[in-house]
Amino acid sequence: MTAEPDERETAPFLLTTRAGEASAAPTPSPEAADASAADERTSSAPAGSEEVALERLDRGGRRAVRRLVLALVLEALVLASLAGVSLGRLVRDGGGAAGPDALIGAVALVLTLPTIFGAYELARVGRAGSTPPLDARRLARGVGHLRTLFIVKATVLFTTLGLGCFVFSLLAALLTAL
Amino acid sequence: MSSPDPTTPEREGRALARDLASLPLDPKDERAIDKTARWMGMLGRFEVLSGALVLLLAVVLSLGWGFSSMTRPEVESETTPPLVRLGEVSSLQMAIAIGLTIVVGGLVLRAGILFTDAAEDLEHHVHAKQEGVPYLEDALLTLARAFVLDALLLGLVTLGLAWLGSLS
Repeated sequence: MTAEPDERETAPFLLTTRAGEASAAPTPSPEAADASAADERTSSAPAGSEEVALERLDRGGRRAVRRLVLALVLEALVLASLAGVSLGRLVRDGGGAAGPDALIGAVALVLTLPTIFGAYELARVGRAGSTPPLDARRLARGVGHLRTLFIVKATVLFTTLGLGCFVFSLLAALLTAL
Repeated sequence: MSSPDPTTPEREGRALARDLASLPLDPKDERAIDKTARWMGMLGRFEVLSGALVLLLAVVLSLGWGFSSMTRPEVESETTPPLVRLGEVSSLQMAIAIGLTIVVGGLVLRAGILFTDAAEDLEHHVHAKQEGVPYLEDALLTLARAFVLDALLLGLVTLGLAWLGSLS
């Protein structure tokens, strides 16, 4: 792990690694261009600068993983509060006519677990060493936990849509018959 | 200038890399990501469908409301009373209901589009990886945005349930 480099040192490497960031890089001075040409001739970039370029590449992926983890934590918190509110209503009503509350609470609880597991695995993707490289296995495992979340959500949504259409057609048929 | 090799040696039998685009995935990991992407895409399409239906409902509600406010109330017949009586609804309540329906429909629709996009990026990363295109990074960023929208939606549902609980 190297110390944070200054911008002039990183700029020539950014041009070759990330097209999106190239416009942000300042134009190198003539001295820097000469130094770069000398590097081209000897075909040997300094190891410290390569490390800097890799660190830049690393940062984009790490930021994406971190944002996903934060979003998953937010989702888990909201799901847990939804489960809490539903189960609270269920307990207060004493089980009488509380079918929907029990269902919502149970689904929210079921969705909370894979969200937490996924966030946990993804949070550890970049923590395999002192200069943390990204860990493919943990990433795949984290994304795999999210599959449970997607399956449950898709099933619930599909059932709700189907039931909604059924009730709507039933009501329409009843009103037409009357 | 020599291009940097972003991969690092394996550590403790794990595939490690310095950036997401060059993350070496073994076939088992690729299958796991592929399966997740398929379900994610399916959920996204269902959400797009649901969002569109909710928005349609908002349009129908507002049309019905506008039409009923334009027409004068009919005089009720004493012999044949109306089948269904919905009760009195103020204009403000109706406007709030329509506004909420539009917000919820829009959120569901947008979250569905984002889930579908993220699923396509993940599938591209597994099946049609191209040098220099950060499919996996894009997929994770899009997925994060979709989850934030989803959390917002679930937060609205939670608030609604809590409000209903305070009424009863």
